[in-house]
Amino acid sequence: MRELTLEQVATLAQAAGFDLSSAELVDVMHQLNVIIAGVEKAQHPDLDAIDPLPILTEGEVDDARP
Amino acid sequence: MPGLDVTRLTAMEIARLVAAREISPVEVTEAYLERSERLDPELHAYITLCCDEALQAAREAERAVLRGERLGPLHGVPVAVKDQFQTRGLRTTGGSRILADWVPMEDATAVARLRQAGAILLGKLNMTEFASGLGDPFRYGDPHNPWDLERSAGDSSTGSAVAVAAALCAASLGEDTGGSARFPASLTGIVGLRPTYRRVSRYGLLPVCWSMDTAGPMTRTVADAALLLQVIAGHDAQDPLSSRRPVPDYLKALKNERAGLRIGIVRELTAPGAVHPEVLQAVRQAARHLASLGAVVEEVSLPLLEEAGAAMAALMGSDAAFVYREWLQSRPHDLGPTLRRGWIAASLLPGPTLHKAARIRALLRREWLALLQRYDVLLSPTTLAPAGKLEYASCLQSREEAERLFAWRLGPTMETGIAAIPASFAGTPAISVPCGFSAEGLPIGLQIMAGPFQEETLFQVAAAYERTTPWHTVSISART
Repeated sequence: MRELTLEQVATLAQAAGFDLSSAELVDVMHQLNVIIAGVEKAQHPDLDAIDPLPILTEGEVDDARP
Repeated sequence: MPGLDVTRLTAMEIARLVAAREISPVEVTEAYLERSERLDPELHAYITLCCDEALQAAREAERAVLRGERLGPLHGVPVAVKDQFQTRGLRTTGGSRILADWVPMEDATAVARLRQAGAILLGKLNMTEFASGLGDPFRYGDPHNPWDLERSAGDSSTGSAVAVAAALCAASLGEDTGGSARFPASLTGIVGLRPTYRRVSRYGLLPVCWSMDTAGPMTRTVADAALLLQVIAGHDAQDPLSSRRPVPDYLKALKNERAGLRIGIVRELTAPGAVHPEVLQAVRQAARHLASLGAVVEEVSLPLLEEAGAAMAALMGSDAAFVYREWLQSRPHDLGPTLRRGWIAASLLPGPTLHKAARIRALLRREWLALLQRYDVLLSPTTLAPAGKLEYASCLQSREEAERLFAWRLGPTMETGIAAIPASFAGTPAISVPCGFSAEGLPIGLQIMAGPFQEETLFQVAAAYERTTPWHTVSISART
């Protein structure tokens, strides 16, 4: 994913109903791009295969005993 | 008892002496309140100190003792809780000015269980705004680290740690989503426990991220942590996700010594250059110490960890931003500026980023659980550096500033909090125990992590370490 520009972030913020000053827009843009780039950077062959379950399942609990 | 400073006692000692009628709940409560009124104007551990209510509860506890009744395992023990827990008839701010006047109608389940066990609630403890406002000044005054008043005491269960470290209460409750109980515990030289997710009810806890929020004890000793967990753990019909698994006898488990434990030390969290050298030295010494007690210690690797910080930021931020979206829209300037901008950014994250973050979490959990099948416990530093100076972020005007703000999330630098991520993502238990001091006299914490619902193992290892090292004793004797 390409980095978001200031104009794109301004459009997104306006659509979501946030009223931001120009300094705040710059801040939000940098935070967004840092997080997006950080997540993008993670690479692993199983990333597409794994179910994105948010919490431990009971099966995982049982299987985890040493 | 003449000459006894009751504020130096552990929660277990207070409970035992109250039951034996050797000290009075009123005497102990008055001692803590006096100390808090004297020291807290500088430390800012409390948001609300409830002197009258605490003394009334202490008198009732004393009358019960005189009638020969025992209310429970915390009978007469003065405790305090993070202001993230709802308390019946007592304001609950969540560390935010938005909730400055909110008085809940009922207790959080964990608080109700403390009261049922006979604990005396001294007050509500300071925290970052909605347990999320990293980078902003605290809305009710900045808590100071009792070991050095110019230093941070960590985020976000900050008051919970300061109050225990400075002996302003016998024990406290914190909350840990991405390290919020473990970091402050480490930086103030106390014990901080993140139990297994679902072990403790979340009912009445102001949420941050539903899939990771976990209430846990913050105490001076491992035994006190076990005692408090015993009280607050267990299924709660009001939190349908809370586990129905039986709660083991944690105090009994403490007495069991296990030989031949297999211990892994996480390579990515103990890499030279990524960790403060004094922290690295203390943690490696702790590993050698556990080996000398009969454990087999080996290095293990969790390569995905280095990329997990951004996923944590995405998942935590987007959840909290959604939970508090109405105030984010209607009262944005009542929120701290860094928190407000961070939540707005999290609200605007693209769907693919959030989906990938969720998969990174699931994958890291799978790798973590695989390690915990091979090892009884895993070790790391709790924080990769001792407490830093109190400082706050300004509006970020460059990519570099943003990366610095998120450094703790993006890689194992000295400012990082990344050591908390495996247990938070996996929902597995972790405990921070004191393991030394820096040359500047600042506490260093050892993180011990176990498999899901393996708190007994965690307590056994932590207690064995505590029994054979002086750090928790130094903590107590060094306090003012």
